[in-house]
Amino acid sequence: MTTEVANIEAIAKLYNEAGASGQRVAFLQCDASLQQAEVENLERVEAAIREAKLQARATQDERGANLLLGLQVLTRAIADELRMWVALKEQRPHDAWAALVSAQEHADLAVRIPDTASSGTGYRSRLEVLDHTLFPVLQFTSTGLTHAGGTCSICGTSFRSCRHVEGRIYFGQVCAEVALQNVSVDHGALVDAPRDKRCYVSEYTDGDMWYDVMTRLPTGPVEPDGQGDGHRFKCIMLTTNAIPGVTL
Amino acid sequence: METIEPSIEVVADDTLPSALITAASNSSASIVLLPVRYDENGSPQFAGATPTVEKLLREAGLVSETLPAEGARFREDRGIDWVAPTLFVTFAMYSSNPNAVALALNVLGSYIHEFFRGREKTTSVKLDVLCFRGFGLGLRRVKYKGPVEGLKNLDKTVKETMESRDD
Repeated sequence: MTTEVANIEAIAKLYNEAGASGQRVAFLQCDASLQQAEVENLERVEAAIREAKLQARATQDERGANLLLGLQVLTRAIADELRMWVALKEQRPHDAWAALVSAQEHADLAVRIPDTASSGTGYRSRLEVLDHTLFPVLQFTSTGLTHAGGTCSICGTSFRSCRHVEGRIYFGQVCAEVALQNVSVDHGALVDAPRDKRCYVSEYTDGDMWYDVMTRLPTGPVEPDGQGDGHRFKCIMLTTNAIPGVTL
Repeated sequence: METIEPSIEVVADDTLPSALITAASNSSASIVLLPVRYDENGSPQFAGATPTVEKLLREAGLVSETLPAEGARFREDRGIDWVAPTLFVTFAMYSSNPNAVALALNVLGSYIHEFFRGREKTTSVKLDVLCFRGFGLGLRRVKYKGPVEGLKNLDKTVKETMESRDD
């Protein structure tokens, strides 16, 4: 069976057109239904890029596969930014924040791939502006945990004993240690710079009422919990979102 | 986010179990990797990046050994800091391969720079080097915290610490 060679030029053209079309409506005033339509188009384009990436992988074209990963994550980032705008308009600010963080993470990965570094850097700057202007300053959280080791996302064997290095990109796939064993969480902390910006204080209290950190609206009364005085917060401590680029 | 300022501190260290010091100082490796902390039961916890560091050093041709070898648990504190395993170097290791520490720091620096490309200035690296100058002279811990580009200055401090005869 022969494997078709990936037509990277055609895919790049597809990405450029879909990316431009998506970014054309990536503004507050643009209609949410148009933004949603662009998200769906970008999802179709991402699927096509992924197929081409798998073809490049099958023909041992590592540079091609990595370039296509770069295009794939940029497509995803643009779609995530549009999801953010839609969520904001639908009064779902926490979903909007998660979408922005996902966009940032995907753009970060594009920066690390030589053929998409420049595009990723430029787009990353745009997302930084949105981060600082659309959302309040958040107090982030971090979880401390221990584990007994995991599996390599590239070869599926013990991460400790295989040759793959975490974070490196192999034929369009990012190496990560996954399926951690015997995980034990031992503390949580408030931090300025978390690994996962989806982890943050989501509600705060003035003693009588809880308030949503995004909307500043009250969410309900504080119920007595017998824990005495002191600051109370509601936090997102840990998420299980997929690491960009790890799955094929 | 503010740019991180580097800090290098050299302190006397008496936290390591003597059995581990003996085992580490008897290693035939160029560098020994040690836990970054112990839990309330005294069980060792290694930095989550330890397997990665093992692989990077191996790629660079450096022989390393991770001690204790059995029952490793890895710690992840999910801040953006990159925490290295504690490096342990004896005077004998340093004498037989004086470039090992510099090479290791260079390899780790290149890796971190690549892994955090675009975010290097806001990523804080934590790396300790334990310098064993011989029984009777005490352990010295060289502690680094700061941006990745500051790692290259650490070798000089490790060299000075290793050659110091102060108790």
